[in-house]
Amino acid sequence: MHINQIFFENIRNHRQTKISFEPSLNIFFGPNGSGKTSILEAISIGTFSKSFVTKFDQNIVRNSTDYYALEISVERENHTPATIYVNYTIGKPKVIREENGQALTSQSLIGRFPTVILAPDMRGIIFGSPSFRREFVDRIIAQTDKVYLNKLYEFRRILKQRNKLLLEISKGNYVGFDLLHIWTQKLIETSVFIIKTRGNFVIKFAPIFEKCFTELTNSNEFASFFYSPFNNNEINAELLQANYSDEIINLHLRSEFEKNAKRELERGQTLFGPHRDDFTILLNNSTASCVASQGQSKSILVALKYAEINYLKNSKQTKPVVLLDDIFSELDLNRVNQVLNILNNLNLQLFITLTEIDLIKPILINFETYSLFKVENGIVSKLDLFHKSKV
Amino acid sequence: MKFSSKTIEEMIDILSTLPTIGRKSAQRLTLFLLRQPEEFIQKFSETLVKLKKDIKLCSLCFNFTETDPCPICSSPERNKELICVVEQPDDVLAIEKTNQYKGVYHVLHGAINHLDGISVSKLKISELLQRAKTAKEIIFALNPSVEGEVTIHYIVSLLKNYPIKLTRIARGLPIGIEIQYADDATLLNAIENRTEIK
Repeated sequence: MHINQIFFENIRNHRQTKISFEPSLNIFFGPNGSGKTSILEAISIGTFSKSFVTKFDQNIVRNSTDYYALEISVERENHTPATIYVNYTIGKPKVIREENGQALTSQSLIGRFPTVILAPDMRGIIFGSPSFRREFVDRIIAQTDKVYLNKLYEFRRILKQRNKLLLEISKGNYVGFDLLHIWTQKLIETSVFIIKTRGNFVIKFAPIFEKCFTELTNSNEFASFFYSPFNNNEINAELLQANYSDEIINLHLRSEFEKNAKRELERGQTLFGPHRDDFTILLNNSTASCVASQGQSKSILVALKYAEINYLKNSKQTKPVVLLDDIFSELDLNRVNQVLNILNNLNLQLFITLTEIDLIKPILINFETYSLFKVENGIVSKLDLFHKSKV
Repeated sequence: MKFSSKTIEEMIDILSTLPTIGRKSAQRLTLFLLRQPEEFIQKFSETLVKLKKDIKLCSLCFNFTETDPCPICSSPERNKELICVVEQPDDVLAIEKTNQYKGVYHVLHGAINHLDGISVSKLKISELLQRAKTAKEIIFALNPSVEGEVTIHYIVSLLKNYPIKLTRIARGLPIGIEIQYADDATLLNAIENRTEIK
């Protein structure tokens, strides 16, 4: 798929912006704060229902206004067009519609138009807290498996309710052990599904990632990706061995909950479950966050994203759109060149932001078609292709 | 914008607390009411007072009613041994519209929701247990949310020693939807809860 056009109002410092895109490479350049990332944010809202920068839509609305609106036109793999409209007014729920006026939930939008994003803070996937890795994995599964996305929302809801009940019990406000037992059952039921799906995802994803890493680095280094739902490597290995069967996950979850029962009541909090899951990235058999150099960690990050693209492409029968925000803050010219060549060979639509156009000039020579956009104070203008005029 | 009259402001304040009514609609309604003849306002305010005074909860099913027991609970044509448990009075209206259900109802007035402070004691659960003693079947028609699910499980756990049939309404495809257009979660649910033919 590719995005033909986007039109948006009051997003960050953009008053009204309308851009027609190239089905291949689109480059946005301009100084910091000019509104480049906002264009990628708008694309993310139109295809994934939310921004990748903030969780809060009110932060996106342009100052001194109280709403944003956007319209994104997409062409699917089979050449059928689709348009998505998103409207958000501060204090009200976000409204998403398709071209026939039918309202969509964010759940039903996610996955329709797969997108892969690489943004500067994403090295957290390697060095940051487990939540970065969970988000990375959940984002991929959510775009390929609606039932998973649904269960994930359900899980979060159960977790909130259970935590509230635990808190009430711990404060002595409520005697509800029968009820707590039922919430625990529900939580375990949903957790089994989530752990099983994440486990089976990693079984498929890990080899893709390993291959991508080798392809990118051309060296005898190797990286691998593991799922570690339990704090015990033996249990994690047992689950993998058993192909994440329901019974075995259930068994271990139950024993964790029994073990934690007393502490949960003291703390008023659910202490174990998929909301605390982690994934382990290894570089040459050592934890990547401990041993990876700057350069190696960049290669791992690019390999993770490259694997994400391949995974989505294989399982969705539609090519994802790729957003690379401020690439030169993360990658050097060689890596950018390598990444762009790989993605270009896959015939993917790319959106890139950078501060200085000169940075990328040396490698643009290799590209047949691309569009250049200059961004200044929330105003986007398309430039003529300079290498053609030079020739 | 502020109106010069304090009474108008008060009216707008009151109306805008109603569900789905924003400040603008409240303004429009207030000005509409101002333009109506005296008789209309008289009738309107009387009905409003009567609404609160005359409408009470049925002592059997806890639906809103003017007579106690309510017309459904006192109807000789209704099967009192078949009780359909719902969250809200609106749900009774929805099921009554089908004109097919011949049992009686039990309105819980919500579902267990710790985040909204709805605990077991705020729901009409102990009353349901009383009625269950003389019933043959209880149908659970709660919303398919995690709160609805947990409420069903909780009540079922309390009823486990009753000699009574416990059922729940089916979750599946809406009528008129073609399979290819159904969302994945609904479809999965319909497959998981498939029924045997014959």
